[in-house]
Amino acid sequence: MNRISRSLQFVLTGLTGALLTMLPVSAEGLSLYGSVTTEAIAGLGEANRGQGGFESDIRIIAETTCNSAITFRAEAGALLSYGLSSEAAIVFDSAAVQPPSQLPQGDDLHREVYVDQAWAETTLELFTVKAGILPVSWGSAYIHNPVARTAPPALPGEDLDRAIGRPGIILFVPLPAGFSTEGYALAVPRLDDAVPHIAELDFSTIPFGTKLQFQSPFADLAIYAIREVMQEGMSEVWIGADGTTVFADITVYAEFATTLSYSTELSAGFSCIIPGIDLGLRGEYIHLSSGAEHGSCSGISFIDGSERMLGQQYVFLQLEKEDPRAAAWKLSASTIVNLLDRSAAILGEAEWRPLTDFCLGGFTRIFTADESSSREFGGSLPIAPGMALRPYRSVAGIRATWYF
Amino acid sequence: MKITRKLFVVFGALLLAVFAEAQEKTALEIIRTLDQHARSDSSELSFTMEIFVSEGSAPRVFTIASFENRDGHSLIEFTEPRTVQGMRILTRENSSWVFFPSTGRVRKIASGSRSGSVQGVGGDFSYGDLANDPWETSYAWSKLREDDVSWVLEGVKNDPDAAYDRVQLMVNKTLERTVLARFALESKGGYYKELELKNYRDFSGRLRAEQMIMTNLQKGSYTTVTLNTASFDRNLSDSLFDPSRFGR
Repeated sequence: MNRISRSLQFVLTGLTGALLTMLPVSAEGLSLYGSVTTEAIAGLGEANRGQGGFESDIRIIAETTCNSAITFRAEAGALLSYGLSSEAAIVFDSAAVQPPSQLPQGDDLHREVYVDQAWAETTLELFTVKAGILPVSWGSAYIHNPVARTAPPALPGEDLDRAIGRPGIILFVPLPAGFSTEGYALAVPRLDDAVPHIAELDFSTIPFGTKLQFQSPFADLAIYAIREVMQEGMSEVWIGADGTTVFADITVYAEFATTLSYSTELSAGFSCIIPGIDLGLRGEYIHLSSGAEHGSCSGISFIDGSERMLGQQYVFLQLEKEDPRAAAWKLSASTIVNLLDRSAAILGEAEWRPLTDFCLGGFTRIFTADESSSREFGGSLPIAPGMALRPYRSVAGIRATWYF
Repeated sequence: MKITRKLFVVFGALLLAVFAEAQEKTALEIIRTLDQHARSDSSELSFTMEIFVSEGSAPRVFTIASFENRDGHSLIEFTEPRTVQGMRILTRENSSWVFFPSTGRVRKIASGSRSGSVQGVGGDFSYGDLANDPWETSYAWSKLREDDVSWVLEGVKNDPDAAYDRVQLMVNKTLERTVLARFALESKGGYYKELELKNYRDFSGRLRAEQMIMTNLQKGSYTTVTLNTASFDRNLSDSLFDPSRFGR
């Protein structure tokens, strides 16, 4: 959304390309692959009738290993979005933020060029060190991870295959008897500040985290200590824990984090395959003590990006059925319900893979709250007197993905 | 004299029968032999999996690298196609973990999932089939029948984490290798999958089936696995089989 950030991303993409061309001949195979996803949507319901959206996401992944001990991986892409598919258009629609009357030449708010990952990793006998733009995928929950506090907050269930990285370093140390420890230090907060200045890397503002993990056939357990920095000067210390075990063919997990001022987040859930019909079933309960208690969500934190889940209690349920013969099709239906304001998002999706590397699909996203209400999923969330943001719009769409 | 000779013949025949009985292998001995042949200090294999939805249909092709250490811990990695490239599945004892390369996340999965096909891949091989668990610890074995060529054994699940309720194996006596396996789940109405192991040949000093064909008897689909390369007793790093490190 800003010129400097995009320019930096262009530079990083260029550097990534340059690095790839300079890799030594002894590299154990450079693997370059990716996907192109294009989707078109149409608004559903009175308020969205006649509106449409279009989005195209081009993603490129490069991987190589040198001398068996050094791995490099980059994931970068470009996202073009128009109409209802554009987050910026939805924010401008609320009139809370005015679209800029003039943009610098070459800037286009329809286009986002991103570098999610570009890191190198070295594994030695005693430790593994990884640096660059790297994701920190901590936590065992599926929809919301209370201990993942490095990337910008995401919509529940949003693109679970994408992990947004942050510039920094991760050190992993294996310990005896199934234990291991890991720590990270990052250069930027969860929400980027586009303008560099000397004080931004003061020690007191660096996000970091440590975890001690135990993995065994019986259970995976971990404890965490994390300094989250949402924006410069807004830091919070979190203590957390999570665990996953398997009980009667059901995977069960719980993940918890609390600040020193007792702001708590909890996710607990399960997943299993229903025998006989091979139907995947998944459920998760989420509690966010900082969320809105009585069914009236504010849209301010949604606009500045600091929060994406505005309520206090949610339940997520998903049913998924995949073609057991060749994964040639998949059907899924899921819902996430804000338990306090009783609004819900109902998501349905059908995928068909006529070829291994080509996928066609259709989907719906239906939000149940009335647009005149201030309930989260479908309502208009107040920002200021006379101003409201309606971030969730019911749509149906089609999608095609090519893998190359 | 005549009577003595007759007695001698009868005693001889009895002795031979007793000796033959002593030589006859029990079901457990046969299973141990199979497990021993399947096991090596370590192995590194690469194979191609082709999934046929029906007879004559165009296959979906996957290539897979597989590693196993002396403790029977196994790791498989999908190298093709692009949709699942880099996905890894680690199995230790009866527990499995899946590594997703895009997010860098490792998830522990339920053993019940191990009888189902691999997510995003499909096919007639389950997580459990790919894990190559030892037969002896997962099932209680008895001998159903035998002839000059083969033994037929049946295993009944005695480990709650075993992938199937019952398994039948046809074992070639000369090769001492399985040539046909059948898999049953009560929830599927009994035996519903059949695995044919063909073209046993030498791979790096070990006798291995070059081709395996898993057929779903209820759906008519089948999946072939062709062994491309195999090497054994390699010095594989422990980190490959460590749940905290196998994704690195």
